[in-house]
Amino acid sequence: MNMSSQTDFHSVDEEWLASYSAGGLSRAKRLLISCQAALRPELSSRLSAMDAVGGALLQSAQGEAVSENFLSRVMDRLDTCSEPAADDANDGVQPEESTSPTWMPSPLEDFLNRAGLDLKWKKLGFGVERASLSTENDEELYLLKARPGLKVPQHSHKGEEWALILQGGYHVGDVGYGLGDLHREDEDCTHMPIVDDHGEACITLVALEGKLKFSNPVMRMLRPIIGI
Amino acid sequence: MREQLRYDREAAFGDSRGRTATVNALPGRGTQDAALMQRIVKSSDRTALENIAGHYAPRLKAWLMYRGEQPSTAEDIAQDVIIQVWTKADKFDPAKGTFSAWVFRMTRNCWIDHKRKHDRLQPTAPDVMSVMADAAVEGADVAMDENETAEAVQAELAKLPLDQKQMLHLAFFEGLSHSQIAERTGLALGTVKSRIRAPLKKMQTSLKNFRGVNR
Repeated sequence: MNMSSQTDFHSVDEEWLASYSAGGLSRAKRLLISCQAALRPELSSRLSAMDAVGGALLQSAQGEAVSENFLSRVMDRLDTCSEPAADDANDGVQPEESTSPTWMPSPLEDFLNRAGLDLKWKKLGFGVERASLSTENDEELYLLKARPGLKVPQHSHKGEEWALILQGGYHVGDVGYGLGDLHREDEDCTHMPIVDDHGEACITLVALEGKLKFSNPVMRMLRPIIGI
Repeated sequence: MREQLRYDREAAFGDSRGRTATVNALPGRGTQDAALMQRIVKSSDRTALENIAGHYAPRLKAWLMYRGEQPSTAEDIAQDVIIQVWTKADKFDPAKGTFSAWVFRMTRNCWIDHKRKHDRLQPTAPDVMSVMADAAVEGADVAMDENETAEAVQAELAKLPLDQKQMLHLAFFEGLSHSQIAERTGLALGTVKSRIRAPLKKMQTSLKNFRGVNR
């Protein structure tokens, strides 16, 4: 977790943004970064800087020899391409008006549309609802909605947990997380978030490696049932 | 002629797959690339594209092979990128950043799109990363920011000590995870993260100072 001195919001540190730029992050984590960039334009500038680093290193790196006919194959393909300055076919076409909830950033909306997914909220009890989005390599991507004022039982993690706040907020000790903040924790952390009680539910987009490890034995028994 | 620094594979940063990791000095070819792109847009100049492909295609191929692609597949994707350079040339604006950053982003997106289409393990896994990556940095209001970013980054990269530059090379070009870099270099994971973070944060600070002078 990082509260950069150059920004006034929580995000991940530069080494993670470098992984994003290099194409090294998981799909779930990439989605969270993209959503945060949509919510926090300041992050876009940081990501642009990462791509500038990647580009500078690319242009000066040692290459791998290409086939002798590489260029001729490219030129052959150009014959079937439109001219470089041709207008896009979609220019002038008005995009369809979004019907998604106001809290949903456009990359998440695109994600759902491409995957043909409808949000299906499942009530877990204790004022918590969850909508699963995908699972890949033991990393789950889901939305979590928690009622205002909820005290999440103390827990730790078996891997990385990234949570992006899309609505409302919560506190962990004295540290507050609000709209557009990206909260990263790993297996070394044990915490007990408390959802802010300002009248609206807290909605977070979560990428979680492994399962949560609750300190409370009752919660440990319930975990397989509630599925987090 | 550019200075090129080579390392034996036995060296700390050696490539276990047999290729030799190299980092060149960082002369910018930004002005040259921008002029070539201008020729493509204004007169559909194929020799300009040949010049760009001649320089970048081998580097794109290497970037893709470091991510596990076979040489033939890497060339196919590199071709797709070069074709996109041609078809989307009018989208490139030198005021928004360098060509190298633009083609780097395009290559990443092409590769992710390729993986989405060919990932047999997750045939139905949704993936919108190619769209998202572009969407996150669009907007005319950030054009000046991106140009400033590119200049500040180029200047800072040129000043970096070789070992830090090499660390960024492993992360950005070879695409190694933090733990893979730790394994390769023998450094602790936390040390790897901080050594990647430090120069990047310094660039962000320089960028902030740069803006302070020019605005």
